[in-house]
Amino acid sequence: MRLSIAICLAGILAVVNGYAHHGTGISYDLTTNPITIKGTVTEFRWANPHVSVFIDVKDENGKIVNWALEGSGIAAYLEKGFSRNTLKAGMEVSALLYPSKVKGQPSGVIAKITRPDGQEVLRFQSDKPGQRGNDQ
Amino acid sequence: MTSKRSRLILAFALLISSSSIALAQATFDPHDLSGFWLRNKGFRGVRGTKLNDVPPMTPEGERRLNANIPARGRNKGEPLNGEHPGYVRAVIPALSNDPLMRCDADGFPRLILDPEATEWIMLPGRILQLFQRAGVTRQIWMDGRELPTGENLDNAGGSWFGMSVGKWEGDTLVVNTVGFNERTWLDIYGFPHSSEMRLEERYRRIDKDNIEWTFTIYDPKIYKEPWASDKKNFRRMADKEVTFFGWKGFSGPFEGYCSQAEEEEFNKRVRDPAGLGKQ
Repeated sequence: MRLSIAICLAGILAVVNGYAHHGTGISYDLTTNPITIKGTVTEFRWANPHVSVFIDVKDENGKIVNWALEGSGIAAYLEKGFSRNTLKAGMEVSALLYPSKVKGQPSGVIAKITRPDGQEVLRFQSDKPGQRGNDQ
Repeated sequence: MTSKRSRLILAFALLISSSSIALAQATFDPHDLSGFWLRNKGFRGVRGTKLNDVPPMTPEGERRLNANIPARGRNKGEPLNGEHPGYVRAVIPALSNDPLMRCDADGFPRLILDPEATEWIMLPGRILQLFQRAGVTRQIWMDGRELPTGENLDNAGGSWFGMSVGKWEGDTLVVNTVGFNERTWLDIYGFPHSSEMRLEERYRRIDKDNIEWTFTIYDPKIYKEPWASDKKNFRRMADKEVTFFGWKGFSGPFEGYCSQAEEEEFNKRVRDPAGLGKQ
């Protein structure tokens, strides 16, 4: 129980932190269920203002599409124990994300990423839709 | 009998113990603002989002408000529901002209409204406020000097953070700042100010762990009346918030520095494609 409260709190803090400067929530559809993509990490960008992850994903026609995923800020991720080594290029991952509002655009904001060892990392948005970041 | 005596001793011990805790909590020097403080809650604008929370604006003020396009607040086009239109006009970040998205400085009071860690250092004749956000150090002059005027103001003017002079009025630290440029926003919502703005802040340590902060914007070129904030709060950061990297990442690899090169790369590769559908 205490753990789940801590996890919830961490999620809320991550949302608040992530929206601290950019108001990025407007670009993504946070109102409908998140989607899952699976693919190969091509780049893990551990940098300001927001951490980002690029993943090659094979679409239904077999074509490789490079997705750009937006995460939280470095400070918020550091506090949760993540680092520039959390993901590596070449790693096979699945990502739960809220896609861009632009239809067909391979962009999304991260809910969480699951590594090959099953560990869920880089939590940013909630798994449940309808929780817009705290802009106030 | 023994049990009754034990209970009495226990009750007495508890009373002494709770009194000591209360005494420790109550003991603080109201003129000592040193330490790590976090403004981690509350509204990030001046007073509130309702129509009457914003003073009437001059035509020049209205013009500048409309020229600022924020990505924060409620989305553009949503019903106002009694709120000031300035708080209901957010667009996607790719279409915003928020100065922070090209790493211009936050300016004041926007930087102080940001909910990140700060450290305040009391020195003879000065108070330093160190902001994690953007790695900014602010000097508040406490040596009795006056705010710059005339030629001195012209020379100081046009700066991102102006010049700050403070003095104690009883247990309240009153800080006045002038000499701003016009490139910063008052807040994340894009409310404007002119170079003639005077920012008056009041800091009062209301107990060991809290500082009450209020401020007033004096800028008749933009606002027809002074714009007084609501009561805001800084809370003392707890020891347990110290991490390997410092206070909430205050030192160490996260420097909070806004690098234009990093910002532009992020915008080009992540932010703008997400908002505009281009790659």
